[in-house]
Amino acid sequence: MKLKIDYYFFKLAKENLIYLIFFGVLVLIFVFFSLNFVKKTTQTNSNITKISQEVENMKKRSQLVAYKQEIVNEGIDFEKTNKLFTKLIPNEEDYFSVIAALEKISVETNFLIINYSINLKSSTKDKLSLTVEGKGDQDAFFNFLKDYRYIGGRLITVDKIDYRTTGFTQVKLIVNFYSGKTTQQTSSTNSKLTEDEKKLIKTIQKKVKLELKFEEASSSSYPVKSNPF
Amino acid sequence: MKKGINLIIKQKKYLHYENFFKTLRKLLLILVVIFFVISIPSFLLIIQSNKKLDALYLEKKNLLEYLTANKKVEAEFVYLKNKQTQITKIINEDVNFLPYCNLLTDSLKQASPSPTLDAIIITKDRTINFTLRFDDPNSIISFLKFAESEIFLNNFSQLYISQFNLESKKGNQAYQLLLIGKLNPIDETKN
Repeated sequence: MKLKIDYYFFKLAKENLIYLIFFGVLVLIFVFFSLNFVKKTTQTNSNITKISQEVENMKKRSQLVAYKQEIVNEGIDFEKTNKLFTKLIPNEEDYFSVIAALEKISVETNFLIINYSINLKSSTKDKLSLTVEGKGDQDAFFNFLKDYRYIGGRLITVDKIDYRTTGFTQVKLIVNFYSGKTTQQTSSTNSKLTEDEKKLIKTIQKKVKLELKFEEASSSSYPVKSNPF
Repeated sequence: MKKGINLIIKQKKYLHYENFFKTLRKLLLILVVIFFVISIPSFLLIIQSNKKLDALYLEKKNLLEYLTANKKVEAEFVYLKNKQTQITKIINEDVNFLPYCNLLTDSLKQASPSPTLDAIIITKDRTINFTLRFDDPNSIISFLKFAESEIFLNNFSQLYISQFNLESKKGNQAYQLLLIGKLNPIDETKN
């Protein structure tokens, strides 16, 4: 089939060639620009959202420093509280502190602990279960029940009490001591202590005495003679 | 041979071609205008977004430096929170027997004449097992009347007499009642 050529159309196209080229280039630029704009805007907005979130989290974390001061004014110091908590639940079991805790409870409550044995079956890696035998009058025993949780310097829970007054008063208790590191991860963005948490810390502060080790300061305040004569 | 164009015959068709190119030129002009109208605000928008992003990067850098300088505070707080959660979890599992012992001794004081508490065993699941001593049978009847009252029974979800003993020493008689039951939970926050 022979193709019919319209010379007049070609003549006009030739005259408008510059416009046609410009039109094509402009369309190409427009498409290229639009695609790039969409890509760049999406990327930038995504980055802004991501970094805004990070900054927001960091701001919350940075408020901790101001909050530390605020909470110190309420009588709670992070460092001291952590020492208390670590004393109550050491990261690794410390049998000496268990014995010391039992002795301290005896002294503080007048409930005399005369014997204790480890319950191997109910003890776990993070929980030491003991059967404790003690004696004392009802007041002493009730004092023990009132203060046993923190007063020994270790966190103690009681699973069973067996209190008998027939003949002579004798008490058998199943108590637990705890140790181990925490497994859960608290985010520091949740940077406030609740009222219940403050109350618990203050209760523990009242009942557990932290023995701070003071380094003996070298007494160099007096004048030293280099020549004794 | 030069080919002529017959404008008389094909006028309509040629006018159509010319109109097409005129429209194309107009369209081009409109497109240029649209391109500038759209591109200038777009560029401004991109510049603004980049400025915002730069400001955020700077803020992040400053905060990061601040947090690095105060990382000890953050570490202390995270440790405190974790340890506190651990303690709270353990405490919540602890029964706290004192309110139950107090409850029982206080309740017994309300019985007239009040029996002597010989033994008390309470386990973690609040199962209670207690032995009461009476000096005469009338006291037992008096106590049982008290034990059936709401003041006493409100403390237990179940309670029954498991054993009754009669002891005789040197002519003195003593009566023992062994009661077994389950205590109701006490809301410690009320105290």
